[in-house]
Amino acid sequence: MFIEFSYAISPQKTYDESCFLDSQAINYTNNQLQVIEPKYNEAIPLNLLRRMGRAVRLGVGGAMEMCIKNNLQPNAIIFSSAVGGLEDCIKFLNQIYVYEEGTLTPTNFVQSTPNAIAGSLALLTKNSSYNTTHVNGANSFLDALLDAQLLMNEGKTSSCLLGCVEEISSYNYNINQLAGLYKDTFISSLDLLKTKSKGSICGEGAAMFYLSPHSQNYEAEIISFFTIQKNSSADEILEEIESMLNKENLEKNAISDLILGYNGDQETQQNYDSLSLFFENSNIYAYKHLTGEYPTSVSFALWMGIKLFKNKELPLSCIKKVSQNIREYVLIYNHYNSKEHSILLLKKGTRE
Amino acid sequence: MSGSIVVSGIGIISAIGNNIEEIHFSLKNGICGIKRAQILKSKYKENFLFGEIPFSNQELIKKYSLSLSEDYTRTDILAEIAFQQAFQDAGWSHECIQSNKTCFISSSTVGGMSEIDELYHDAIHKTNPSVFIQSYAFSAHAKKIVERYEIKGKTAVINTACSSSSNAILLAQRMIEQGYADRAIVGGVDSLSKFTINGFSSLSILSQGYCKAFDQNRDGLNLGESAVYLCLEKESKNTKNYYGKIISGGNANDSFHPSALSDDGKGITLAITSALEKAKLSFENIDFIQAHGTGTPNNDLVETKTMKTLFKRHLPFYSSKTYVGHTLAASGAFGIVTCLLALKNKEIYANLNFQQAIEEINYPPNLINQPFEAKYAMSNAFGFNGNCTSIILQR
Amino acid sequence: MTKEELKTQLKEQIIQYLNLMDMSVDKFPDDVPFFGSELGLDSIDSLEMIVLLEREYGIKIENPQEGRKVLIDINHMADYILEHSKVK
Repeated sequence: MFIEFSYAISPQKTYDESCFLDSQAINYTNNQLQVIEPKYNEAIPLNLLRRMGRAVRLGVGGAMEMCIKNNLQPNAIIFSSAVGGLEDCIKFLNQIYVYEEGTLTPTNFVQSTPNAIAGSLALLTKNSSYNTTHVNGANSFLDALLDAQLLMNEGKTSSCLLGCVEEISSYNYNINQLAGLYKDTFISSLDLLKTKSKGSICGEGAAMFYLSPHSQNYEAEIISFFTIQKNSSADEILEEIESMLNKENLEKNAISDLILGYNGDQETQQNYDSLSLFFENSNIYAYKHLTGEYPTSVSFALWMGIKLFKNKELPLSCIKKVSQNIREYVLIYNHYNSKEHSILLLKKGTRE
Repeated sequence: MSGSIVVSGIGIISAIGNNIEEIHFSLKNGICGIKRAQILKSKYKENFLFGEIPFSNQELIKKYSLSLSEDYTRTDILAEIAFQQAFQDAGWSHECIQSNKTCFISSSTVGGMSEIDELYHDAIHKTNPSVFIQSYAFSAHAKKIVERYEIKGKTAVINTACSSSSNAILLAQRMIEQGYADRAIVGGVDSLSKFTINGFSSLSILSQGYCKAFDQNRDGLNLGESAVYLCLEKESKNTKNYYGKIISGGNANDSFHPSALSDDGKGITLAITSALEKAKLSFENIDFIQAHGTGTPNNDLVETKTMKTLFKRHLPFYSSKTYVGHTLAASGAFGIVTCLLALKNKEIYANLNFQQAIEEINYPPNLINQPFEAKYAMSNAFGFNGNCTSIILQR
Repeated sequence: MTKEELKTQLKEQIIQYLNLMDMSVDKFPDDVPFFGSELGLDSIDSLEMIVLLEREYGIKIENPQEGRKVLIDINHMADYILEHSKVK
């Protein structure tokens, strides 16, 4: 599978690609990193935009920005999100309690359905093709990628829009805070990777990819990917990664770059440290000081991996270790809450 | 196209029965499970009828001798019950479930929102989290099953609103067909929740009485709850049970409106034709249809109009929602189970609560439970945001 | 409140409830139909307007058929409110 185009809306100014690299990274101090959105001037008609909840706007807006700019018409739309439109969901919940199950406005209800994103895109672009939404927590994004792979294997799909959206709201921040996912004290987000305390900070993001089964002109090739759904030690993860590399006939030294999901939680960094040691000759990168932690942040890591091939530069704060300057294979490893692990292997594309 | 994926086990719980035998009995005898709700906590208990499973969470845990941690929501409990039944029915061992060639694909639209009072509390209060704090996600029930049964194969959770479990089954079928798995446990679960009840009420599509699917005087749907899991496997000599085959499926988007179908039924037409094409079958091959048939003015008009146009004959059809209400994410799989029972037992089920055909179409559903020999059945499911899915089953 | 004042208030409320981003009170016509016109409103908007009537004017519309007689344009809606409102 080949990635022909990619696009990300994140708490950094990634929607305008040049800014992400050239300007200073943006620092947040309230432990909640909200995305910086483009204006969607041409991307979404006002008559649709007026009703969209935040998650839907991010997903539809991000996808449309990428598709309009590059004149893309996918023949499948697959989305992924661990929580979907939670803000609309809680807004509707508030209505239920405030008006004691009285007459309620339906818009929040309709918008809170996770498939409102892929569905609104189909509606907006009059796209009748295969349309589905994966909500398997932190594994949603790679599940959606597998769904795309199945479609490509079937031979009838020549392009697929793969999207991923995660939004934060004060409500799910509250729920995750109660569940112990975040730090107790406010920190500077750019210092996240230096912290020595428990928990992470909250983030969000939308990432879009345009996939094709055959391509001469592409940003990156997806070589292999898989998820693991259980508490796994570094040894178990490494065993799986080595077996993947064996299947692809690759030595560990072939991995030029390794992107890891370091999130500042000192209790769950061990697997990342072990992989850093194992891939001793690889460049090593982290990203959550820019995006915050969220279940499907591996989609941002994929976008960043493509950036490595394309622009060859990332903000200095992302670089944990530089060993070499040949870029051929990027390996991504991320886990959420130690239970949901994502592994993705990319190869450099033909287009820089 | 391989036609060799068989359904070898079914786990199911709903308002018309707590297992496959009870459900079959109710379907065969036209027993409707839609009633005044007893367990549900909502102001709308007085206004609307529901397809409620008539046991509280505590009663369910006792009835099935479940030993579950206290963070199991109603959705999680229903999923656990149907999941257990499914693999036991298929005669699968724990080793078989834990094989990395056994995938688990589920779906839910309500998830942990069945415990809505606790969710509301946890979303706005900064102290004293409820026991369900980690259980609200759409995937929470699936994560619990994965952990409990140590599932190692591929997993996925789909949410395409009311077509969710049909899409889950379509995904499982494709995974097996392409060798990503040898077996699958697949289906969906949704429990009654104030969230969906108020949501559908705000859209003015809940019926004042019984869901009168395909009737001239239909006035909306009844909400229900259910969990349904199917065991799928490649056909072999070891297959213990044999309900029928999943042949193919098609999914398309109507791309018309967030909560209504287009007049010309574009999405339905594309889903049906794509399923037929993949199965290398034509319209004449389909013997009956389990229709989406929610009982809303818009759905039933567009659905009958499209069936009449496409099949060019009066095909027998019924909506299983007239028995259990609309069980949302589980409804697609529920409909498919009724098709499998009908095919296997050589019968067809009645569309309940029907009096008068929609005047402008005059295409009434099947009204009598009767012997009916069929080879191919089709089951349709349509969800919000234009999602249309059609699955083809074979005896 | 005169009908003119009511119409202005109603326009403000509709713009707010339906989040009509490119609409303003001055541009909102009194007699252009809400539905099937350049206003681009649909069935979900009609449900939102039924909620508006109940929350802002204490008018409860029990079924969609009744709603269709009221939700025609600003003029019709204002007349109906003047006749039925419990919130003066």
